[in-house]
Amino acid sequence: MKIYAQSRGRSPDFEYCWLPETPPHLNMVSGLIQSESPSIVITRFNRELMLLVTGMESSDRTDFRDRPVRNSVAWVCDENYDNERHLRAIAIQALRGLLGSEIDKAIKFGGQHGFEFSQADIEKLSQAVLRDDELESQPLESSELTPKVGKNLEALKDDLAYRLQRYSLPKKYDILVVVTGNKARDTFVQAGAWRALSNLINSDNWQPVPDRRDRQPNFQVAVAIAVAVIVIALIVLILLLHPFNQKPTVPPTPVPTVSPTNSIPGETPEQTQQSYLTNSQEPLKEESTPSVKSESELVPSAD
Amino acid sequence: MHELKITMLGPTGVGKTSLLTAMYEQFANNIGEVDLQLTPDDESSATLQERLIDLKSLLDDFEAKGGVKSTEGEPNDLRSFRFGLGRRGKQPSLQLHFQDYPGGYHLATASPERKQFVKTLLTECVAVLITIDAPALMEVRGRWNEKFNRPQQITDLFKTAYQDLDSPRLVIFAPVRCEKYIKGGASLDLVQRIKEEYKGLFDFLTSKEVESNVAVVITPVQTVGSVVFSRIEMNDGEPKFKFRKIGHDAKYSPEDSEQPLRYLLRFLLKLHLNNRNWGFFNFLRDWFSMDTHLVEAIRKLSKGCKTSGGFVVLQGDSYLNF
Repeated sequence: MKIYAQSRGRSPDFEYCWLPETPPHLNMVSGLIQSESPSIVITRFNRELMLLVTGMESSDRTDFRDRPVRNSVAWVCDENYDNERHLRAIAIQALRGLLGSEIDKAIKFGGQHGFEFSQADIEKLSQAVLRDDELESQPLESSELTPKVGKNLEALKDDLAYRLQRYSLPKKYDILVVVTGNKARDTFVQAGAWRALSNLINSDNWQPVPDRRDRQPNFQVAVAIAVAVIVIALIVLILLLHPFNQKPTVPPTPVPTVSPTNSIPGETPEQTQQSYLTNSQEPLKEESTPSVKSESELVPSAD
Repeated sequence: MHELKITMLGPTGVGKTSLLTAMYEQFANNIGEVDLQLTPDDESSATLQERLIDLKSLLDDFEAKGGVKSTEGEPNDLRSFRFGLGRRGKQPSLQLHFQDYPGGYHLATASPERKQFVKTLLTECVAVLITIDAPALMEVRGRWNEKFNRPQQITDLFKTAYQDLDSPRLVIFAPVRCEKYIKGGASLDLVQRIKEEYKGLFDFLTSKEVESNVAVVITPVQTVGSVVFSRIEMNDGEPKFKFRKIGHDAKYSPEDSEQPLRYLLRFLLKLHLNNRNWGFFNFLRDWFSMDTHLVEAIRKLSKGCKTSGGFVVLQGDSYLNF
């Protein structure tokens, strides 16, 4: 399991930054939260699970403006039975507000980035949060698989913690859990989150929302239907413009018989036929030319 | 709805988010009968409300502590504040998009992506508010100015971003926490100090290639109104600026924090009245011509732009004066 921490040093020479580096996939989820507000996110990307806990205020470290420094931690691991239980256990502690002070003890001012953290302390903390018999791994009931949102209230956070303690994480979601401050409901619906809590959702109970994953096949079907309609329309259009191109079936147009009265004195019958064909095409040429409009005629004047 | 992008430029902790909070909060209070309103979207509204509580909490103790939460985040997910602008009781017809970002993006150690973000932002924004921490500028003859306000970095940013400008821009120098430096004749010193410390930037902005496209004003803001600088304490070699309330019963009473917005709207209206081809501002012509009441409202609002007591139009009169 990899652990990443974000905090800042006291002086204006420092800013919030992640150590040892920015966690992978962070940019996929950071738009889902108000990061300076206490937030919890669990995601699944490329068979990796990530738990992100942000906005935990330090009890004793302040910046040069006397503002409490905030800590954030991300745990990233391959998805397997043990790691999944591990992350759930930490998330439960975060939801119950029991993580912040412990994390704070593992982060200190100092170092070239203004702060340092003890990876070992955070690892120890992650291992000691819940006893094995306190954490179950039952599969979710089908009624629990639908995505739901609610207001970021203690009661709903407790309920979510209870579910994480009892059930495994659902398999078919990438964005599993989001708990944050000021984020609009639609953010979570669009992201297709399994469970989301935000200060901007006006529902004191879990509220089912449309499953974005359900819309995906419908969308594909709609695209397929649209393509089929366009293809059929094109075929009909072509047939209308070129009704029964009968060239192959219609017998060749009989060549007008060149009678001696049509012949020009001095011409052979072949020359007369050629002259007839050329003259009969000329009017056609004149009629087709005007149908092509110049660009200046087609484009309306900018004035 | 058309959108105009504005940003607050300044290093970490200088007061960018505080300025925006006070600017929005005071706009409604200070514009009187003018038929205009700013309507934030839900996320902006909730966050500004929280920041306002932070600002007011400065008055909880006689010695002001804390302040507005600092901003954090990566360039692709930074918080921005969006306001609809329009007449009262009507659907907004223009969106003002204030892009906030962590001041640490100015640090020498910032990643190339973060530095590029600020440059691009500066290029895209119709107006830039350079937020200046006034105590750092004014106290001990600006000994801590470079550390807190980083004027050289700000200057370098402009030199990179304001190349080959093809449309007019407004640059607002907004010194904040000005309570101590604006009383009586002290504002002259404030203006003078800004001119001294940002001389490199003024030299650039008045250069032949740039001057014709950039209007520059100074609008000092008293962010809280009743909290003043008291002293500097050193802690492990680092300065800490201390502030105190002006009295035990002092209340939150910011002053002039809506002035930058007045200047911004005045600038937009003048662009419209100049009736020239201004690239991506051309839509303003349609926007204003749709609503003559809006033109009148902004004209009336513009009359409230202060021009004394530290408020100065340094260049670009033609973009601001009717």
